[in-house]
Amino acid sequence: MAETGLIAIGAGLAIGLTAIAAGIAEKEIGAAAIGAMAEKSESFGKGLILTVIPETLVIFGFVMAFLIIGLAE
Amino acid sequence: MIDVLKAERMSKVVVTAPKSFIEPVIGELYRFNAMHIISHVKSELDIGSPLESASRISEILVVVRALISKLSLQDEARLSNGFRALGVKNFAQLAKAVRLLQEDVNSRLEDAKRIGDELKVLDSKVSILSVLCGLPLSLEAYVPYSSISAFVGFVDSPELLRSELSVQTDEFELFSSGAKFVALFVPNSFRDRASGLLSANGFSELSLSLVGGLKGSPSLALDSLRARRSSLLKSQESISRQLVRLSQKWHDFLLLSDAFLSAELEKAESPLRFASSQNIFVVSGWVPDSGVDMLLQRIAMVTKGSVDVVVEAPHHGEDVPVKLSNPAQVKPFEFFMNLYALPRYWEIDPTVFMSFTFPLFFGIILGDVGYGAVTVFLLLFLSRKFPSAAPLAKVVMPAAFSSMFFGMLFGEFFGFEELFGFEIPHVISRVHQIKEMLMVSIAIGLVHVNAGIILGFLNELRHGLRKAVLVKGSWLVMEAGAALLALSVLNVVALPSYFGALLLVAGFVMLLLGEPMEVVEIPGIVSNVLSYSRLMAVGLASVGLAVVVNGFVEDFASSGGLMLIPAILVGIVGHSLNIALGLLGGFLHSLRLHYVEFFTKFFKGGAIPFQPFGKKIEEVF
Repeated sequence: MAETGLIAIGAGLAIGLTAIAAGIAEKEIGAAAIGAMAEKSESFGKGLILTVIPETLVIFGFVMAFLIIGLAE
Repeated sequence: MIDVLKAERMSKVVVTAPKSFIEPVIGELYRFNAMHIISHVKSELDIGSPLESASRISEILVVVRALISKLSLQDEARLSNGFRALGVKNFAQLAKAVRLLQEDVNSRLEDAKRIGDELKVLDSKVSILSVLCGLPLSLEAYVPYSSISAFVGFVDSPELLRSELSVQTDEFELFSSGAKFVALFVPNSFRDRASGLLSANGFSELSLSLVGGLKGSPSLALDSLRARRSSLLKSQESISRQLVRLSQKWHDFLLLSDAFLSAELEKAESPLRFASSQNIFVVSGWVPDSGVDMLLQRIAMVTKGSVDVVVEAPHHGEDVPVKLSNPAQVKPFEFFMNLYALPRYWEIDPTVFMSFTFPLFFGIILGDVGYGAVTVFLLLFLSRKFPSAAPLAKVVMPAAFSSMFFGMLFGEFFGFEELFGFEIPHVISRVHQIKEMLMVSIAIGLVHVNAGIILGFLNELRHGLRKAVLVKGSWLVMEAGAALLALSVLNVVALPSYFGALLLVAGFVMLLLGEPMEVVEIPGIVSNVLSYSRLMAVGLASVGLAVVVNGFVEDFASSGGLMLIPAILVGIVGHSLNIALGLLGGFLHSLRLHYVEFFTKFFKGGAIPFQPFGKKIEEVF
């Protein structure tokens, strides 16, 4: 029983920490992308793509969380 | 063969002709509207100078545009078929007509301004006189005297002023009206003290200079001013009516002239992009292959054969302007290329692939029959209400239908997997078969990324087979090696494990020989493929939210009675929010899988768009 609790905490950490990391990374890129767009509005497409690149981290976190939860079964 | 997948094929056309033919050639190029002119850079040959008519045209154009803004005409300018639509024969007549109209409009605008100014003065006079009306004095009473000083204005309290004055002297005359207005007359000798008393009472003077010339009783003067005012207002109205009539009458003429003159000016200034010498001029530009013969015929016709035309295929690696050519069903997806970057002339245009995979990914992420149907209606409404959103709606529409299709595969309707106690039939359940969904997502990723590598191989072919095999083929070899290694280690295939390892190393060496810099991207390909797990993850998050909303709705609804109202509210708000999130997520994530994971395997982009000189002439009568 105690083990299930630890597994749940682990899954939570996996997704929560990756989300924070992605947020920090996207913050910087997003600010730069908005700056670029102000100079040149055509850069919207590229800016958008660059901004969403780090969100792969959360996806990985999500997958890991899911695999960790699988340990409880 | 691969050319079908690339942008429209172009030829470079260089036209050399005597200067006497410059106008007809420009006219023909303009009407032809399919030549991307390459601006000449000064070399042995000078840059051409504008046609003589350019300055005359721009003069008229300035007047026309001024008139359009003065008459505040707003409309899309249509293109005319020339002088005929304007009812004139040549530039001189057009200039004359425009100038006459300009005089007409200007004199009216001046009248209107004069009347407006007079009205302003009149209004201040009226406000002064209406104050003076309160006193029993004629206007002559206020003219300056030699021995008496007059103060006219407002004080805090006329009664207090009177009592203070009477303490000091009885040689004064004070008239007051209303709560504050006073006119005080005192001998010049008392002037300074009176002025001191007044300022102690908060005096502010009313300047009478505007009404200085008027005589008689203020109320009579006021009446005559008011009469003048109403007659001015009437003429102001009539002028603005005349202006409205003028703008209605000349609306078409002016807008057509604007369009016509702009076009003529563009033609007249086009020699600035040509090369020219004393007697000849040279135009060079890119023309789609399909139009070359037609252009040659037309130019030969207007120059009566005295022209030299060279047609050549683009040199390898030359910066050729790009005009995407895709079948009508795929055309809307060129939107994504414009959003990102135009493929280069020598590259494969991935629009066709995107038109297939974008709806696929979007559908897997937002796979719900209900959500898909709502999206379809939302898009129909959007494209009707906001025509500017139509291009976007056109690419999302197939994606919305794909959502409905995958909704059926997943057996989901607004997050419900069963309706009225019956389970909706499904092929795979996103909520309960997460592991399977993950496998499917990664398999899709493997296929998609490898498709990108194969396209990259095809792109590299123009640098030779060896290069293509080393740079792109090496990735396939490495993947095969990794797969073989894994399978033999897991004892799925009965091969010694060094077999796979050998293949892996071979691929690595090939890449090192082909493009050493790309070695750093080897770990990247693993994360690229794993990144496709978002197809499962984002979709699952969307289902999760829908299930939560449905849970709330059921809780409220089970209480019955009045609790049905919050149940409905929570349902509508929750699902709207989830649809909005799902649309945004589905759109961005599928787009990103293309731009980041797929395109990086083959796409460079950054071509200049094909911008043909001229316009299609639209006949207007």
